[in-house]
Amino acid sequence: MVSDLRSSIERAAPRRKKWPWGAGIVAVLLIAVSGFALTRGGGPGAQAAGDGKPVHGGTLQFALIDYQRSPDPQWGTNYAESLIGNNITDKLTWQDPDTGEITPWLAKSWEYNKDLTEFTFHLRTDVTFSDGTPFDSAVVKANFDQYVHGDQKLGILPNGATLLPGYIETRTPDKHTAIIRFKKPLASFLQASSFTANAQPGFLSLSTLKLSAEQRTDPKKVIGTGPFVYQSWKAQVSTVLVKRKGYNWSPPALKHQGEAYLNKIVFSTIPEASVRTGSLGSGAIDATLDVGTTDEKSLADQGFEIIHRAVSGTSIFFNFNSRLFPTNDIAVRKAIQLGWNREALKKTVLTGSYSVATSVLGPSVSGYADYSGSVLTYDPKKAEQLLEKAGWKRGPDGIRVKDGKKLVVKLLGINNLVVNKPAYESIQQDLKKIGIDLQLTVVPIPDYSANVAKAKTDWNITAANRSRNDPAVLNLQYSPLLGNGSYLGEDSTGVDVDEVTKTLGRLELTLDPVERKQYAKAAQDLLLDKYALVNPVYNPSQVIAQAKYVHGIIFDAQSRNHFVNAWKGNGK
Amino acid sequence: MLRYLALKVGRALFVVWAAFTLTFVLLFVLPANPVDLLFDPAELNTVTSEVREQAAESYGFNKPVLLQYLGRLGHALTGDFGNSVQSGRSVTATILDVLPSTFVLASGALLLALLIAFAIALIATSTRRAWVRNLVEALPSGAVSVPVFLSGILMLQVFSFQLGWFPAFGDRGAKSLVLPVITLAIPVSGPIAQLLVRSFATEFRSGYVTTSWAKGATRGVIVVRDVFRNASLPALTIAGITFGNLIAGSVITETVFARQGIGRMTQAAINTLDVPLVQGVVVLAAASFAVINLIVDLIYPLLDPRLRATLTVGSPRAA
Amino acid sequence: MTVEPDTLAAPALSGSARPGSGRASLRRLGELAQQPVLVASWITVLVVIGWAVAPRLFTSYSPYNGDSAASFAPPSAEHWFGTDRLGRDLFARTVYGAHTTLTATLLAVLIAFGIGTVVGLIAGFSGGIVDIAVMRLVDVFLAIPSLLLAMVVVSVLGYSTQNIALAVGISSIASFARVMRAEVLTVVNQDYVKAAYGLGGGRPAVLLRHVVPNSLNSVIALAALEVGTAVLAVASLGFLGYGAPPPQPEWGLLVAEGRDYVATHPWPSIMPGLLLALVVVATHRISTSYRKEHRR
Repeated sequence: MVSDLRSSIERAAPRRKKWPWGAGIVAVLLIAVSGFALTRGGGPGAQAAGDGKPVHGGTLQFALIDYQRSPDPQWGTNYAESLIGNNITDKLTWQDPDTGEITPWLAKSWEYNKDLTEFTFHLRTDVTFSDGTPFDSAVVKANFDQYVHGDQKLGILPNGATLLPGYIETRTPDKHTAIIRFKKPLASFLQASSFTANAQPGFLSLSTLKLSAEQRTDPKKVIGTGPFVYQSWKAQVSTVLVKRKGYNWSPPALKHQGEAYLNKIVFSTIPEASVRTGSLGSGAIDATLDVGTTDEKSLADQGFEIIHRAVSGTSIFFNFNSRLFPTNDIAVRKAIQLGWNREALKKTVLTGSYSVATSVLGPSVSGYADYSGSVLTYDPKKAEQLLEKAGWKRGPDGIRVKDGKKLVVKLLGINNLVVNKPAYESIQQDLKKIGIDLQLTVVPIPDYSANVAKAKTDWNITAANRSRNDPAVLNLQYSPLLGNGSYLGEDSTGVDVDEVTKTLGRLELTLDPVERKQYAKAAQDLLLDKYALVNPVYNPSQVIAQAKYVHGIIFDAQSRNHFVNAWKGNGK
Repeated sequence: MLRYLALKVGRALFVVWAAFTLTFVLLFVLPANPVDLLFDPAELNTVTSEVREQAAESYGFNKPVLLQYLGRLGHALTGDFGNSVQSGRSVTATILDVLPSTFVLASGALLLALLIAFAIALIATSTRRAWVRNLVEALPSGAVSVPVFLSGILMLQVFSFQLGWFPAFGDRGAKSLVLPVITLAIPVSGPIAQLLVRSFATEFRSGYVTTSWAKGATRGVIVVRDVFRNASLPALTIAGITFGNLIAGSVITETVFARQGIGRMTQAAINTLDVPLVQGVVVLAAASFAVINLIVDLIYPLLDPRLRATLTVGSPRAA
Repeated sequence: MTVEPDTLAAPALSGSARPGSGRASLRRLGELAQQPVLVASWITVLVVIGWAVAPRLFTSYSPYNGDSAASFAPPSAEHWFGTDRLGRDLFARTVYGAHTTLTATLLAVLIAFGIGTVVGLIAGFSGGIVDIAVMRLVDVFLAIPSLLLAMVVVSVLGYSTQNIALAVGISSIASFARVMRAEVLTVVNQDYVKAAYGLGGGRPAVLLRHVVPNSLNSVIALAALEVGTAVLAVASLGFLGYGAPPPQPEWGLLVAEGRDYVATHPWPSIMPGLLLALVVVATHRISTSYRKEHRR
């Protein structure tokens, strides 16, 4: 490899004389890099895979883009926070990622009343925290109380207030029974009890709950029941977990007995895509999350394994503001749904790990229905007809005009996923052809948040997604009483707001699978077809590239990872 | 001399206070509410007003702005900048944690940048070949014309991923410092070198050099003895300015090389409107800046006989 | 042994150093022909200005509409710089991007250079309380990391290349002011300036004839660098997630956004990056020769 560099320098040498030095240096590097891209391959990823029997021990070097801002798992809004939280804490239930079914975990069994306002969980009796204290109903109560209400004195925010709306209390009739009560029916609570994404209800020891937010930044004091415990936490750089001795209560559905296989996991934050990919190639890390779409193929060619799961919940959506001109016109909303080429998006932006959205719900959420044959299809002719009929005529610059006002649609989006910007640009290209000027503002998360606060009056479209593997996510996201994603109100022309509220609200009223499916279909019909309040774009995915000797990394129902079952073929 | 010193120290304190105040004002001009940034953006509309109020109250964001300012200023005087809104950790501890790592990176880069700059200036001034001078003089602009992140990423591709000479990320001893230091030093050296080349040339033409020349000194001796000493003055000035460049450059360098550091922390803090943390960092930056300039100010008169002369007369010109 | 005349020239006592007669212009043209690097620099800059004014003359491709079949095509006779992810011709995007980039750069330099120089001149030349007040203000701006200032300005004004340029310009005012003042102080203390006073020159006359021209050298050097700095600052802010709204092409942003693909498809960031470097170096070369002309 050294000789490669030398020859590339030699090749570059004659040019250096003509070019100024700075450019010359870049040229040398450029040629070295392209030489590098060609000669690599057959890297460490191509090593033998092992014989399939789990090997105990070893350290997994795992890279990802985000970092934990605090080791406290109940507070967190990014992937690193939820992913690491999942491995140091356990939840009451485990949702099967394939079927969506809720299965036992820390709760052996449960029942609920007919109104869906009271949920009774029967807890396992053998579970302990890593400091030796037992896990029991008092712990559940203390956790839920603080999770929902926060603690002003300790500086703990009400992290769970949005997940558990209307929480009244937890009753503890005995040591191993916990009854959780709500003001209103909350069918989605059962799924919430397994929730593994942002601000998750993972159980912390009573001693941890007494700590202030500041004290919880000492990772050694953050105590859970999970298969791993904290060894260290360095903000923005790394979190190190070691295996919990004596752990024996992973979700029965995983069929994993006893402790985790790995001794240690090092989560390294590497913000740059090319550095994550390169580090995997050079063997500095064993696996990485947040694989750039364009790197997937080259990593696979080098012998690395690509594993992925679509994030369950909503797709990446364009939520239309139903009050603001021009998206208050249903013809415009429908034209946008029909006006962009899904094939082109698939070909240029998405990889096999992603898919074009066929509903506002992801395909893995129960109640999902496919709209690719009806409203979510590319039909520019029909889109133009709709616009013509509604009075939108082509202006001199090709952009349509009505009553002297241009068809300019302002979109606010987040640039946290590599796919977002090119995907939106692809749609922008297509919409321009039918006379819609889609203006993109795609910014980092904090700026997005700051702007969402003004979305009602400033933005025609907000583009994001929400991960929650339950059809009630539609109620949370779009109900005028809750998230109100399309800003429905009295001045939303042509929309029966009550109808939307009621139709979506029904998703919280039953846990009967057949009924729920009907309600979910009705909700999707309203959102996608009847009122066209949302244009789903693509289904986001979590993609991991790993060396061949890495096995058993689990994607859960929210596509967060669990490492209890992970092992390395070389045991190192 | 004592009066001069007191003047300088007072000036340094003023800078720190003004920076603190200006940052506070700037952060409140921003069209964003720090409370919004505490929640998952997708859930933002679902967050109830009670929850918002509770969050605002626990950080004191609901108090009148003036009270918030005075409160923070009062605490800051005792060295307490409060707790980071994002992590809940004390600002002082958070900063002290990452400071050494940035300090090592920045001072290494500054040292290397000065070496490069002096080398360029010396070669450019002392060479007799026009083409060598032209080439060398083009280096500073070449150095600043490549984005730091691109040069960092390209160096990583070659020296970490292909050759495997240096680790690609994290902080593992001296070896992992090499690439970040070079990456950061290149753009920082540009302005310094440019200034040095310019002032070396100016000094070369000035009267006393001509005199030395007439006295029969060789070119090399002239460069070292006269030009070097006198032209170092503006270089010191720019070293102070470079401080800001170092901080900005370290944001990117630390991001590319996934290092812990003040730069990256500051960026995250600004992004998330973590007011206490941003203020802590700004005060730190302003204080370091003031101290560097204090030192430069004190060395200035020692190096320049002309300024030393005016100083002894007591003119405030050197302030 | 031949020594370049300019390196040994005595300080410009007269101050009347401006060439400009017809004969001098002719001589310059002759000299220019002897300096291939300078000629190449001029050509580079003129071509890029041409791109900014009339991009259509230089490329037949659209910078906005891609060919989804040609995603990430490498540089070739058809696509000189290759294509990006959406199959857009990168050369076309670079050519069209020249307008945004040059306008932004010009804006940043004008703000920083214009305001900074005047402030520094006033401070250095008037001295006393004015100097103290102005320089304390400058200190404060220098003490706050420019990145913070830039991010705040962009957040307040909105995401556009012009606003980023504005931010970069504002955050550079202080350094220009400071360098200018230091130069003015040095020049004012030079013997020939004192001599000019002695010969009966009034303050404004001395200021205009001696102080300004002789102080500007360092500042012009800084301005040449600022051209590069401004474009790079736009790129850096793009790297940190702040950038012009898509699909508008802009050089810094092209480099910043292309970096994610650098391991597999290096051209989307390297081709505009090389061009950027070339233009900055060329600008610098021109400014150096300009300065030397005016020294003589």
